[in-house]
Amino acid sequence: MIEEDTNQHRPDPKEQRNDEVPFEFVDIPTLTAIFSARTHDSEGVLRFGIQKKQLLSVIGITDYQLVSLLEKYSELIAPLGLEIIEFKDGSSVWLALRHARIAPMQLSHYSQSLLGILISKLYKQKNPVNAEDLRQDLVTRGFVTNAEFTNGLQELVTNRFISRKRGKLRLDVRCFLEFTENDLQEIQKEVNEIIGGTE
Amino acid sequence: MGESLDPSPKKQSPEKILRTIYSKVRRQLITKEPASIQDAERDRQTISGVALGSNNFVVLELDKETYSGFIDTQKLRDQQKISDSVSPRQRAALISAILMQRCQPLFITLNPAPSSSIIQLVQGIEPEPIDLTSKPAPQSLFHTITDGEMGDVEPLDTTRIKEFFQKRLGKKIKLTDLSTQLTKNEFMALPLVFSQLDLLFLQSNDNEILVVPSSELENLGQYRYESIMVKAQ
Repeated sequence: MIEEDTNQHRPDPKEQRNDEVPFEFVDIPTLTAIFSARTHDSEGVLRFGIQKKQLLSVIGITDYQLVSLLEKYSELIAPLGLEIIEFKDGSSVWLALRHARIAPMQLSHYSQSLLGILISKLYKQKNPVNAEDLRQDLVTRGFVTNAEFTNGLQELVTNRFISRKRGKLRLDVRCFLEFTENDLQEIQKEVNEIIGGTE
Repeated sequence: MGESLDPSPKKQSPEKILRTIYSKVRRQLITKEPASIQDAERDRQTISGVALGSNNFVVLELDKETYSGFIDTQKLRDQQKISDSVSPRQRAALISAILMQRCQPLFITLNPAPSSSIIQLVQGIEPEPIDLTSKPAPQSLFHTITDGEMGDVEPLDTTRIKEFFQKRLGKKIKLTDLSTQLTKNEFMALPLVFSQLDLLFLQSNDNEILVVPSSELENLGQYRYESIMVKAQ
């Protein structure tokens, strides 16, 4: 599971060299463009924000200076309702921007419903869900049409809410970035009450 | 012999009571120790009581199972009613609403872009560590509107209002006259004018008012009284 790692960008104070000064230069438009970017990596996987290592190497600043930069930047964007998050995606650490409060989702209506059902079936469950079994169940019960299921699932996979490998579905990184653990638990509980015995 | 059972067997579990009696009888058999008739009779009564209790326990468990099953059936019926009254489409919309109420989405301004363009952006940042010896003035994030940009706002000319009331000082003024003679801005400026001219505004009835200088407060008589009454209402 991918978790936000909020403390990771705070280096040990002992590592700070005496000759280093805080890095206070903040280019808000450029940093906002960088942190709010979506890119495809060499394998075609969608990534959010920028890799921390890449940012450090290209700007040429130390980890300690980056902390200073991020703290200053966070203070400036806080009144806009934004916050910067640090998370692990794969083996590397990434930095991205997130709304600090509730905001509209990027997904279409039926994709949201599908995501809710998948969260209820996959969150903290050991076994992945078979896509075709789920399609049959939901279409038979009239929750979605065949086309809506196909498009919705594609949208969820493309935007990295759900990962699909060999027909098996699992929750992907973006679920854990946009919903807290508590939210996921509540969604699972409420959706189970609504759909009642989809098994 | 000599091993006494708890006089109140209800406090012990049936299993424990039976085990105690079993171990006692077993020891007596092994050691070939004779058992007294009173002890044997007491044990028989205890076992009989435990057997009765066990029967009651089984009945209670069955009752519990029945009630539990009844509650489950009721839950199923409720769920069935909900699913009959709310269509699957509506339930899907409900699920969508639940997600919308809890989502803190990522803030994304760019469409999927190649990594190279992001690197170009990053390269645009030039590290400029601050000079600790001279602190520059903090720059405002927001565009500050200067006086010139705000345009010329002309102050309200109150001379006309002052003339209007000075002519009618001590006389009753109809409220309809006020609304026709004064503009909206002038009407809003009345408290300011009254404080500048040191005038008092008294309402004699619903349609008329009386404007008098503050110095004549003592001589107001009935008007003052009516004004207080109006305020009280």
